[in-house]
Amino acid sequence: MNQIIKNIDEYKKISEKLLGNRDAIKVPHVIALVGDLGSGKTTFTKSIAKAIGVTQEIISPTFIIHREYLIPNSKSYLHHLDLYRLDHEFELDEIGIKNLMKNQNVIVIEWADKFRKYVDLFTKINDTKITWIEMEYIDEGTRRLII
Amino acid sequence: MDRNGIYRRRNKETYYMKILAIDTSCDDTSVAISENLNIHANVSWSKLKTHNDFGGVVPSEAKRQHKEFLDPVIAEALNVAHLEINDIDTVAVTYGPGLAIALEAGIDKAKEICKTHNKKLIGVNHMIGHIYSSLARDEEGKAYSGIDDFEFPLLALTISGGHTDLYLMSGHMQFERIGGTLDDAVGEAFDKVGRMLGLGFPAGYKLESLAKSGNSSTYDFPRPMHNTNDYNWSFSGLKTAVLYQIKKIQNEYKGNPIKDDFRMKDESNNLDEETINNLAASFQEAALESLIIKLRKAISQYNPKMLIIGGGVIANQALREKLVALCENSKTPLFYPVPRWLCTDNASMIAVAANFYAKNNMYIKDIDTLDRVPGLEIS
Repeated sequence: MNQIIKNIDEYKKISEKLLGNRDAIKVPHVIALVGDLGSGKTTFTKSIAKAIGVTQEIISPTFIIHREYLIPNSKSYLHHLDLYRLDHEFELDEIGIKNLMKNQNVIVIEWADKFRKYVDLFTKINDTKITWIEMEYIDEGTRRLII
Repeated sequence: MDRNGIYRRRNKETYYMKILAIDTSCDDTSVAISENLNIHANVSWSKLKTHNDFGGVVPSEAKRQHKEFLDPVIAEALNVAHLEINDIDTVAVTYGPGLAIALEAGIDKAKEICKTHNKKLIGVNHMIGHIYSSLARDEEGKAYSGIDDFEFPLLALTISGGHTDLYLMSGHMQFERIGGTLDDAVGEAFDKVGRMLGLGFPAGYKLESLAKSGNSSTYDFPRPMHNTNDYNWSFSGLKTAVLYQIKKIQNEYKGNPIKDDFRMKDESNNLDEETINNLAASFQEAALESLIIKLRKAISQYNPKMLIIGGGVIANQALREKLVALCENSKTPLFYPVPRWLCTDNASMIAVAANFYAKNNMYIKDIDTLDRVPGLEIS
């Protein structure tokens, strides 16, 4: 799917389509985001949080690399990671990323393409589902999403 | 070695509590020794960081550094304070917020010392440390920020690479969060805009120095959320506005390539030096003005006895000037830690805050239960 985004409502539609039906989801789901600064990763993550019922404010995880939010009425979490600061695959082990692939967790990973092969291997843990989303800046107010 | 050694002089006052404080929340391995609020030693080691940026962690290297250097840094701090481990009453350690595996290194060491030498343990919130850094005193008891104690109610703003939060304090250790960033922290916005300008990452400190040579009214960047009826900020939107402007300038450049610049080696953005300086200055003006707009609103709403600022971004000179003007106009006393080492991450502020944890009897009863909380908030 190749979609041009002109306003925030369209992020909402995509998020709901991807994750809206929580009851149908039985496995962890990784949303791997690829895109430069200003391509809309934060805005999109906020819409994902809304779609799964997380009401807390989603603030940038860049500084501490990983933030987590309990998904209401469940035992699952929204994990929000930013891999920008990491340089080596073993650092992903050190931050315990594999342990997040459980329950019906939603794991949003910014800059996931830095470790594309490694992230793809998550499908082997608990049947984790992975959706790669490429985000691209087109112009003021316009972004392209390739899912 | 990046060391801020403060040399202790024997002093005739009665000492109440000697604290050894450890902070490993980020890329500094920092240890301080205090007696009450007087800092007798503050030793920080960082081989990872070259500038006073607002955040730059490579997790595995940070962990390795902390593990390797905690012992020598502790030994040096005791040496500077002319004390031995037996003289210490209490160990204080940062347990969050910060990088999980970096925090762990400090916590493990603190537990080890407490068990081996039978000391009490206090777990300190790093951001409470930043707020209390204004109460740090030198070895002779002179406050670095000029105040002896807080007066309540007060407003406390924490601004760093990971935080932008505004608190109303009704008493010591009594916090009510009244606002904060909805996306990026202000220091993070400096770092990310710095990267867009081709200054590397993180580049907050470099951006500030370039802004001095730029004209801050060249570009009219937005002050996101300045009209909202709350005390929240959004710095991600401002970052995006800078991106739009860079793309616009680049489009105007097309067919007119700019000569190579030394700063473009890593991330070429084809901007000339004057443009970069003007973008840096205009961005800084918008970011700082955003902070001031909401602070002004909060001061008029809450009428605080004082405004306290903590965190690495308060090292920014332009911000200090704006804050002084704001507080003169509103007749609100303003305090922040003056020396740069006390603004950025350090263990002295953890030692100072630990005094107030101790007064509230907030010791860790079962030492083994203290665990790192990377996303710790003030509540």
